[in-house]
Amino acid sequence: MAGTLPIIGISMGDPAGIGPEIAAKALAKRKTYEKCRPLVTGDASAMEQAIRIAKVNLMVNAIEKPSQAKFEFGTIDVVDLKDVDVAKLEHGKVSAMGGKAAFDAVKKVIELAMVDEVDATVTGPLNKEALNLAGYHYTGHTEIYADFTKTKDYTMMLAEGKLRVVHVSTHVSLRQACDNVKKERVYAVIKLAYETMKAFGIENPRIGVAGLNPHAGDGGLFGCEEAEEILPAILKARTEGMTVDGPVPPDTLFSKALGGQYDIVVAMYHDQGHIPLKVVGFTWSETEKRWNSVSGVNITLGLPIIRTSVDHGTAFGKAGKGTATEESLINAIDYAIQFAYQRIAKKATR
Amino acid sequence: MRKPIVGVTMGDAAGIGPEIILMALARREVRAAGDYVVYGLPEVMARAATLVGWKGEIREAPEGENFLFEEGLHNVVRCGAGSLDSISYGAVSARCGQLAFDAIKRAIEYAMLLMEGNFRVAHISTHVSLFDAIKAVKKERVATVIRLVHEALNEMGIRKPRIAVAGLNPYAGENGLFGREVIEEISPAVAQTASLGAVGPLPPDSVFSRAAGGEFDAVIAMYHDQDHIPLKMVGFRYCECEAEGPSISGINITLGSPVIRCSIDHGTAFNLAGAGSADPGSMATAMITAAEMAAGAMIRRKGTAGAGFIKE
Repeated sequence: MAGTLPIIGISMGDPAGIGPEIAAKALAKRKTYEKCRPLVTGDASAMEQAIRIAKVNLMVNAIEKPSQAKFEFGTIDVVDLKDVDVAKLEHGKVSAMGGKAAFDAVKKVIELAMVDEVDATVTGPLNKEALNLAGYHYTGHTEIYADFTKTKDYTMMLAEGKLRVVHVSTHVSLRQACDNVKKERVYAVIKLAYETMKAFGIENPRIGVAGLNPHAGDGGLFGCEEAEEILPAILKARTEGMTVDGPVPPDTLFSKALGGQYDIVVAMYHDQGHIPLKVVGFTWSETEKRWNSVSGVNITLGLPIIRTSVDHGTAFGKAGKGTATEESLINAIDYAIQFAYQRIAKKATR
Repeated sequence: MRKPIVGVTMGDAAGIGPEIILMALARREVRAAGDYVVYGLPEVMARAATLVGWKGEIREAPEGENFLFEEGLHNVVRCGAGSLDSISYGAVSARCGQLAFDAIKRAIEYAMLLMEGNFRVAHISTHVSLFDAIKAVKKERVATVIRLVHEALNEMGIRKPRIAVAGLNPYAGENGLFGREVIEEISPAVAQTASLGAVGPLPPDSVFSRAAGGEFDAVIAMYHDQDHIPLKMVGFRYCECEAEGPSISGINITLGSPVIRCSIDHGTAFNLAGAGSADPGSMATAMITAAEMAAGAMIRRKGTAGAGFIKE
């Protein structure tokens, strides 16, 4: 049975953040091994330290390639990149070493997916400042994936329960995001959303497209992007048979989607989609001064490989304490598995 | 969850207030956003009903009781002795001034009674394009809004308010990687007002969940949808409404007050009063905005229970 489960490659993330410890926690669950064959790309000694921090009873099996993995509950298979000096590692601190380790882990997992040695990839959180400090001038995971897989039309999808959101732009300033709302791009993202939902098994997906401005511009009173860029993209998608609604006032679209009115929502900028997702998926406890619940998944669409990710950052403030929650990582692994099965089935029919 | 209750003060009985209230109440999107109680004189509201041709009941709502909200019925809390004596359209009078004042006083008292919230949201700009909203993020403006919110929270009895200031860009700009506004405008404003309990700029995508969980007493949002989206995620049962009428006017949200107060942005228009031709657009917008703000405050009061509500 285990031989038929998809292989999920998990990049460790920045070792100074919570990535390694939440990976240890997620892999300390027997259930995880019942649904997939997980392995970690990163540094074996950092993972050993994370196991101690997370206070879980696991061993590390340092390997060079996935074919050496045991995929046994109780052991974490780590494709060891030997790039962290644990003695020098300071949790919660931005460092070039942490940035480089995070980058190496991502690069490795992408390479493994490109040669089909893993069926899907899941990324732990990296710190963009550390990444830049290490000399890798990417604005995030998504851009690294696009570069290494030579993908041009890609976008970020977030999912939390029934709410699924794709973005017209992500890691740019809000000012730049306004400029990125162009009909070609909006159309391309609507199409990606449509295809993704089809691949998900939704025959005629209902797509809601957000406006850019308050009240979707209120008939041109506050901004004209809706009429000039968004609506033409929607009309084009409709002529191709897609069920698309919009531009919908941004402040009501997401509650409608949460209520089940749309299968997927097209957001015009990063926070337009991220704010509602996190309001639903994240629960802060003031008495315990920590997140009680951090759920939600980040999925990159348009790539030749599968990539899902946690929906939160490195959480430097709590790294190294063992208190971080693995919920979002488990959600991300679950989504990766779901996509992986479809990919495997598709390959089999070819 | 019930809809928020919005008290609407009648204004000067000789002006257009009573008639635009009834015209605004006739709009479905206004009624969808909240339940409304008019503070004023039932006789004046009845006269306005005749004027605008509204056929429903003007019900004098008993003080201190739960209001009954039904289609075809408007609640009016009596604020003053009843008769139309010395109330004629377009005429300035001491009696009308007194009635208008009494109505405001009663409405504030009632709102104070309901206030137990420890959370609110204020924004730097509201009904402008996102492009203009970005330009409006200036340190003076941000600092002013922080000060106003601080004062409001003090007046509510919160001695050391915790005020979260949201960033403008993703992850609050990631140290300048995505936009300079956070460094050049928001951070200096927060530094200036740190003694007032301001912290930030914080990543916009998690600050609202943190506030909903009770970490902050208020959040300063940088643009309309930054806080309207999360408010409506937790506080809004969306109701399909057709947009009615083309006119949307500005409204006036008073921040220095411990209660939520929105106002029309025009005067009594004595020259139009009694003709039934006044435009209720601003009144409708103000009523909806007040209801939306109240819906957000209601959720905040429930703290994390809000998250449970949306998942049902």
